[in-house]
Amino acid sequence: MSFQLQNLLKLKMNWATASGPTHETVLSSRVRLARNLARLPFPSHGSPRHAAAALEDAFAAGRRSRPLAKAAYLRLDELEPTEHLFLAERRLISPALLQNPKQRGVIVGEREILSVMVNEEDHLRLQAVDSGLCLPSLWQRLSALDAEFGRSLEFAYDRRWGYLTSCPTNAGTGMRVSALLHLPGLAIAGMINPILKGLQKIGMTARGMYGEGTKVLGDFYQVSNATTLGRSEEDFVQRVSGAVLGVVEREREAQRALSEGARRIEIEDLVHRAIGILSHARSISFEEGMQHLSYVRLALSLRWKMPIGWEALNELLVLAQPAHLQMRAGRAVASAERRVLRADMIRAAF
Amino acid sequence: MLCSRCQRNESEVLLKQIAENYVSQTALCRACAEKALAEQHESVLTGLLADILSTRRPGPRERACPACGLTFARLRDSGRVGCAECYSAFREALDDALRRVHGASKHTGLAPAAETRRQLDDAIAREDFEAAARLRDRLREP
Ligand SMILES: [Zn+2]
Ligand SMILES: [Zn+2]
Repeated sequence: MSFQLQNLLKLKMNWATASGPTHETVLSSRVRLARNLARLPFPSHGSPRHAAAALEDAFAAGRRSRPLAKAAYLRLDELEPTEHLFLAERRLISPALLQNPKQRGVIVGEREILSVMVNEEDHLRLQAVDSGLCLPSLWQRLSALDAEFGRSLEFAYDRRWGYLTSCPTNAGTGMRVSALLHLPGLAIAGMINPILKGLQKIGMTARGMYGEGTKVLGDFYQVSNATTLGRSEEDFVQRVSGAVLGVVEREREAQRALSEGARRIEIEDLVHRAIGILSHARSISFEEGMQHLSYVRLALSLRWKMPIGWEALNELLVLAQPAHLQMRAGRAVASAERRVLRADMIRAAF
Repeated sequence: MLCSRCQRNESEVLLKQIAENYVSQTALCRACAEKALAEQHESVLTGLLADILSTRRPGPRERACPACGLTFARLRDSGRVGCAECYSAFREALDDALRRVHGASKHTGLAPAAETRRQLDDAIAREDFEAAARLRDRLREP
């Protein structure tokens, strides 16, 4: 395993620290900017030589920037397939392009708050992630990074259409503002669908999963802006923040109703069965683990006394994924044995 | 239960997906779940864009991008352009499509420094000092 990945595995992901505002419901906020180099064809159409030039330029610009001067610079073609999956599980690269690691790379900043994907769908995808609902401050950091990269690189830009992207649905700001929400109360109350429909009406997209390439996934939902053109960046940040706050409020109401009403015993039963399984199972699938961890997370949010804290639980959501288990074991592990390793790791945390 | 996609393997994963913002659950085997996730588009807008372009007949100058060679047919099928020049080559088609996808076809957000400098000169020329101050702030080093 590469030294740099070894370090990523050891160091904390800041978004998991459960330190941000409303982190009970908003696991993390994320802002992403798509940027392309003006003088090269986009990654899907360029030659390997073009892609190599883009990767070199992007890494050089990163090293010149203040926030990423000491970051980890990873080339995917120097890594093993499990290591690619590991990066995808941490959402540092997108899983859709895992088949082709050639001339792709990723820059990972301190505590994984800032990162840059290179030669995915677009030449650059700058992103910032942190704990809780903190979109305006994330946007400030990312905007500063964008400005630094913009001093080193000439971005594809059109006065009418703004930043030009491989997929025209990202053109304009090139910006995706999102929040990863945990909505166990609304899920148990059967209210998810109307909430998502309401989000769509106000220009949001919602997806029901944890991360982009992993398996299924308790009650985790990602909400983001649907369009990218015609509004300012600040406007998108405010709109998504507002939409997310609305959902947070509904989730709190749902949790309050469940914990005070006739269904309290049902919730207590779910939670305590979950603790029983998580603290005793000898073999557990990622899906089953996620579902039970989701119930325990609900109990933490209701301030019930639990054998595990926020940060440890948030980290388990990442560490219990297949590639993470293999990276920790330092070898390839088949699925049956992964379940055993996963159960061991979870039991140790409970 | 059998995987509802390949109908061959035992299903291991309950894949929750949102189409049109409705949650659906599909029981899939691990291999099919991985495929399904990889295929998932960044957003439903990509599909919408392809739909809009598919109803359009390309104009005589819209057949291919002179810089990268991308054809209109390929743009329509993939929903993706090949280079920055494609935006000029397929300007009319994209103008119509982007207006319908985004509900707007004029960018009003940030610009690269060189463009911001041009905007600053414009603002000063038309004596819009409020806009000029804002643009100057933007150009200042962070
Ligand atoms: Zn299958
Ligand atoms: Zn082109």
